[in-house]
Amino acid sequence: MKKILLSLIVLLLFCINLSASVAITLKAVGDVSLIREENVSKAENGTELENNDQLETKKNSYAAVKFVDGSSVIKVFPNSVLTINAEEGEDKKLNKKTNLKVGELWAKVTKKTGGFVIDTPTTVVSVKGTSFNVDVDENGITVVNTFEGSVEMKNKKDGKSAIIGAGKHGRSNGSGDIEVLDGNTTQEEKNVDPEVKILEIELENSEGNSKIIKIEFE
Amino acid sequence: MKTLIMSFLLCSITFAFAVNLSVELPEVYENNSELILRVDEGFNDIEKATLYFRADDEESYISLDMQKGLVSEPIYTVSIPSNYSFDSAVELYFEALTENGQKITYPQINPQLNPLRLIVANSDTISESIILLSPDVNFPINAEELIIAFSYFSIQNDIKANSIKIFFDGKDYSSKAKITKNMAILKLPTPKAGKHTFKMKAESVMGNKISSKDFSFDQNKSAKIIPFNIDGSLSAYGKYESNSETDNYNDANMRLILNVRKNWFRLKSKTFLTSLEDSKKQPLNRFSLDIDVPHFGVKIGDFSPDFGSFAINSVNVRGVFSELNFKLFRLQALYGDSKRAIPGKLYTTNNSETVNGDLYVNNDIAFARETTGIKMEFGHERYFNYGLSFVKNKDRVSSLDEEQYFAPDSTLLVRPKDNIVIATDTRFAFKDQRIVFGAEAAMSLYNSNIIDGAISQDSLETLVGQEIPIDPEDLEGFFVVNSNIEPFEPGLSNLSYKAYMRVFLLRNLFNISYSYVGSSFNNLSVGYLAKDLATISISDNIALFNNRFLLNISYNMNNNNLSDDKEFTTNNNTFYAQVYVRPTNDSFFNFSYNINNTDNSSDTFETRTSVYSIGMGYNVKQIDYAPTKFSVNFSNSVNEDLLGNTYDFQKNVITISANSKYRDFPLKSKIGYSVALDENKRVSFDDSYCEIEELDDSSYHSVFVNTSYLFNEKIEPIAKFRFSVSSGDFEYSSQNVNIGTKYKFDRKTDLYAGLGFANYNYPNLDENDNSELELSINLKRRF
Repeated sequence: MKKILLSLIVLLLFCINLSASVAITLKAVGDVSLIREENVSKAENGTELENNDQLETKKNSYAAVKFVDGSSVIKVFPNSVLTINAEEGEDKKLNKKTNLKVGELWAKVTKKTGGFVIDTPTTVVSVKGTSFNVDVDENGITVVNTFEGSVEMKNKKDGKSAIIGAGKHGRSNGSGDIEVLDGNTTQEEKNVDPEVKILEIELENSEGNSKIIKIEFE
Repeated sequence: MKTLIMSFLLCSITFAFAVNLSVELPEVYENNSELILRVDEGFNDIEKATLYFRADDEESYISLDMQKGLVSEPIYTVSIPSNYSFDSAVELYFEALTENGQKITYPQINPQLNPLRLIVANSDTISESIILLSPDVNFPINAEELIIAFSYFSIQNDIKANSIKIFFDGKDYSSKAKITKNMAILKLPTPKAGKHTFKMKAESVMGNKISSKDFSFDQNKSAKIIPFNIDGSLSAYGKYESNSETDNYNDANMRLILNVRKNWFRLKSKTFLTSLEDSKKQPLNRFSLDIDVPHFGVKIGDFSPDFGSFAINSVNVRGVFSELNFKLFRLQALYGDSKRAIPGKLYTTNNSETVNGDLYVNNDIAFARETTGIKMEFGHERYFNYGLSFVKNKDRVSSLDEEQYFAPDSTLLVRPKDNIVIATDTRFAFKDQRIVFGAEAAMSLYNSNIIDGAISQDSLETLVGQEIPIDPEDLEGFFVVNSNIEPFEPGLSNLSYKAYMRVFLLRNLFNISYSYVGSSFNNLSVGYLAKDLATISISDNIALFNNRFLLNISYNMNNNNLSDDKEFTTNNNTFYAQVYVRPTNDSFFNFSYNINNTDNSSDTFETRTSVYSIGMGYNVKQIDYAPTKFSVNFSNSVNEDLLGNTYDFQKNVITISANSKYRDFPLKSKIGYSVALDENKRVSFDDSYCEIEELDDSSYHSVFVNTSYLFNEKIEPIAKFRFSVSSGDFEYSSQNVNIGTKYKFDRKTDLYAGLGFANYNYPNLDENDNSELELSINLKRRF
């Protein structure tokens, strides 16, 4: 009986832990959806993200995510699908494991702040502290550009791996050798987050009803 | 002659102490600390009292009206709202406005440059586990919205969720924040351009206070888009005071503040209406409407312009004020009335002055006074600026009927005046205004009586004994020239100037200033300016060891008779020193010493007032159910006539208090006991002799208990009791009871209703026994 009670308490704590926020959207610009337990809503700036929450960015949209340990930020570019996951390890550090189904992201990770893994359909990208970019196309082909530090790419099928150092990029289709080439295929400082200004024009008819036209421009 | 001088001096002392202020401040500043201005003398002469406060690294003061106490408990109280937060110290001073328009401050001398300083209780521990998530350096702040987010995931089980507070620019925005298990998120409209600060505070389950580091960011100007917004407050206050021996006193007032913002447009309006408004006295009601657009502002109604110490300040003007404001140039102009016409009444009572056998009282008769001013300022306000001001005050003779200001025998009861002041000021600031140098100078022209208008050119030439190329009558619209100009020949005596330096470096605030106000310098648009006075003021405030050691030193030296037109020169020196030591978060020790010497050049007058005070306290947290701060203070004051030995007053005061905040239920209590032992002697005068009279030693004992209990964060009953008894020459006892309730309808609406009762007994003067009942109610709604 005592063991059952203990198990129930552990299970309860586990459930509570599951529902705790693990990240926050610093930005959600344009058409960004938040899918939580099959419920779809519009993601907004300052939305808390829980484990298994999925962010889907549409055309001309993007999102920025920061984990609760403050160690890492991710920019999710247009037409991407990202699932958020993080768990507290035994060392009390937050191990981040996100899944990029398709699309592109840029991440900046602080060293020694728990594990940071990007899981794509074909590849696992592990990071210990760096700045890098991951691009996944519809076929699951994954391209990693490393700007600082190093990143490990590992095929899911055959387990082959390669280290992508700073200033290099790696390409994998999930099996066989991972191509590691000099140079980056993309720039770190992509202008994905320009300062957006808003012009408001208020229109009022003779009956006093008003509408506001908002124009966002860079 | 000696008797006359002594009588004059005693009268002067009596006059000088007509309103006597002291303060009761906490040892360290905490949120909602009650600040008390005690009116030791002249409580009924005070119209209102104001607290001015600022963070120690700020330039400008914020004012708060103080709550008037009872006649039985002659105090004004105020608490700085908790939405103001101070990092290290708060600087403050008090100002009491008397019914005759005099402003008395505490500290008395240069309170703006030498304010009181309270160190902020710094029991917060900086926690690295409170992590800033947003704003993030990788992402510019959104054009519409600012998101502040803190994470405390690694200590989420160690802190009380309901204790989490988020401060932005020093104000508490917790009520607008979303607090989750491991995050606190605050969304605000994008703030205006400039530097902004924010932090998070919380309390651990163990009761320790923790906070995040202080964070800040610079808001880019181009991102400034301010949404339409309306805010303000409405408050109503009523008081009924009944005394068994004197007339009843009623006061009701209402205050409405309304602010409207829309992008670059700002509108602020204030209305204050009081039942004490009397058309036969200077106005108490206030109305103002401020409109600001980029680079231009206009104020209509009541305003208090400030063109500098010698040009115009501390005076209410009802009229129009406008300002052009550019980065390197500013132009201010105003026009309005600083006094209104008040017709006098003619009495023939036995208590009034005698003029040729007839008796007159002018009953505060006054002409309406027009005030016009213009100021040009060049340079950047934060680095260097130079200003040039012109201010004119002229009484409108036509505002009163002639019979109002002339007695039947043609005696002039009140004189209309004309006054022009030209002033200049300059200011240099370095290191983010931590080093400031400044200087001001002004010259006045003053005519003490313009009833008869300007003098003719011929009469003027006769008066000065030489040809004058200008006809004074042509200049009458600008300034009335006649024989009543003071002084008739301009000189140093109608100049004023001052220079100052303020340095705030390495936790050390140093001020030094010198000011000179000539004996004939007259400015009718400066609220309070002592003429014929040169003042050197030096002060230094040092804070060391994370504010655990504080040292405040100030010295003021005043001399009059600057034009050598008085028989004697009076010198006054004041030295003040205070040491405050807080070795731990729960203990303190302080010592202060204040000495004031006044003498004159004829060696016929020398007085000295000295006060030293020593105190210590300890917060006993070991009392589990009610951590209690105990404090004890001893002070000794000596007030003596060193030369004439006409009086020698000595007083020793011991005060003990215990301030408890109960842990298991929201009760606060404060219990205190104060004993004062007087040892006085004075000279009594008679027609033929004088003798030193040893007055009976007297004592004063006072016990007070204050309690409050907070139900459900909404209702807070308050009860205060004070019993005082005095023995010696003047025996009396008093009992004061105040009960009241604060009710918080919601986050924006507060109500306070109070009832006070006081009873006074005079064993040797039964006919003076009296009692007093007071009812008050105060409702405030913010929107």
